[in-house]
Amino acid sequence: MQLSVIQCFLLALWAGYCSYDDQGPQMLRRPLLIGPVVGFVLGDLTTALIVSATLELTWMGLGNMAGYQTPDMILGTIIGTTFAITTGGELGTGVALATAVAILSQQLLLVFGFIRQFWYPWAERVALSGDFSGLTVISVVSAILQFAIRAIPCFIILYLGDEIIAQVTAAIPANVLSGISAASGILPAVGLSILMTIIMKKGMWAFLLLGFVLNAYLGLNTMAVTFISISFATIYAWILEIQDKSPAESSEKGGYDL
Amino acid sequence: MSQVITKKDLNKIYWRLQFFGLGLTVNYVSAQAIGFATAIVPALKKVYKDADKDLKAKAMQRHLEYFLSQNTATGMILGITAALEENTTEAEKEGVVALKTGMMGPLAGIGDSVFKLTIQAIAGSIGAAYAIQGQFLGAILMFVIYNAINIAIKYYGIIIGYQRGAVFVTSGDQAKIMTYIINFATMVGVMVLGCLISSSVRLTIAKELIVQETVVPIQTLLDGAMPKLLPLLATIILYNVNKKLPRKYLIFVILGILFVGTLLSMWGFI
Repeated sequence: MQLSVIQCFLLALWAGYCSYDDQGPQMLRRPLLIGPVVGFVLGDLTTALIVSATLELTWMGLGNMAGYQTPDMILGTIIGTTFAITTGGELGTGVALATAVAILSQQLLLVFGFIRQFWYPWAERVALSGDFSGLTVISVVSAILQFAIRAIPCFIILYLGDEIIAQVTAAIPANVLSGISAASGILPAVGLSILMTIIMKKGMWAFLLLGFVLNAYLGLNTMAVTFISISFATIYAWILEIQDKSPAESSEKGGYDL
Repeated sequence: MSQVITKKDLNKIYWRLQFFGLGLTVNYVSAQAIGFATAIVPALKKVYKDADKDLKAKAMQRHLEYFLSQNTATGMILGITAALEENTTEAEKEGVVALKTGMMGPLAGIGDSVFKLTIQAIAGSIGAAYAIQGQFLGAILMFVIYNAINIAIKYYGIIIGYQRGAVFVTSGDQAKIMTYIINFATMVGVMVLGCLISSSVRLTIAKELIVQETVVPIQTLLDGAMPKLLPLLATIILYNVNKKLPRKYLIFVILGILFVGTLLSMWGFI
């Protein structure tokens, strides 16, 4: 499948908006919220959902922490999902490309970090003028630049890279491609393990196992497990509330971690 | 001092925080201060309505001093700062900066661990559980769960922060509500996580054993012991690795798995 200029343009607009959103409203930011729109534009929502859900799980622990620019999930997701769709819906292609683009784009953003240093001297001058609305102008200009920093590279990669990437994927032996797909299947474990480092507390292992068993042995789907977990969560929050009210008599320390 | 800041101004502060956030103008000198100053402008406009240019300039400079916190949690700081700007005389303005600086660290800590990590990750895992099977519901679920909490805390942080000022931060009410949300979300998260390990991680052995001339796939033996045993093991191993590994090396773990996994698959192991 070949990308039309309009599709490249729409996807570049989306990349620009997500880039702005990432620093401003912060309502999207994640692969699972960015990828499906690519599916709408290219007319293959199912592939887009599967690729972006895999990326979501894989990159779960990634997020900009103070002072560290993470691999760029936005361009990674958009370009990975796009080429997963155009080259025939292969998950492995999408994940591998997304990872490569994310790392390259990370370098681009590091350079962009220097341009941002000009905002402060400008703001200082605005402050001296005593005109409050001058600050809004800076924010608007910075938002436009933030839009451009991903929209333009995205358009270039999609417009020029379309054929190159199609040729490269065609040249890769089939067993390598299926190998990457198999390897991509393991990747969700990376994000899930990161999520565990965030939310696992002592005593929670039993419930992790319960969720696992409900699916692995009983075959319950996520919806069913979510509903069961909501009832457990209600009881759990309720017990903790009671514990808070009564004087702390149970002071068991430690607990075990696997 | 009279009450000059209205609900409408607080709404304006919210929309400015929502549209511009703090990240667009991040720089080394003042970090997120330009974003903060832009958001607090509606309050300053009211407080310094009839003031001369010098005082306006001073007010802006005050809010351009170093500020580094987290987007969602900053709502509350904005609300409290607005209340303080309204209720202090020009001689007391040092206190405004001091309080802002005092709050930004702790609230950034809460904001990062609660919103950026916990809520976002839990919403993401619930959404991914559906989306990975090709259901659009997954993306909608993630968007709604994450943003409902995110926007509510941002908006009501401003409103309540303004109404109750610094008292709110120290009263512990906010901590109680947050603890409830986190406890609830953690339990849902852990169980969905368990379900996801089984439903989304794909790892099977392709090799076969030959026992007395009958061919037995190793995977069948493993399934007999425990279905989805390998995904569970892989996740627990990675959990122990990631507990110790600094997060910035995570991308190498991802690349490593892609590389080794591809080789293993080409050799027919998985």
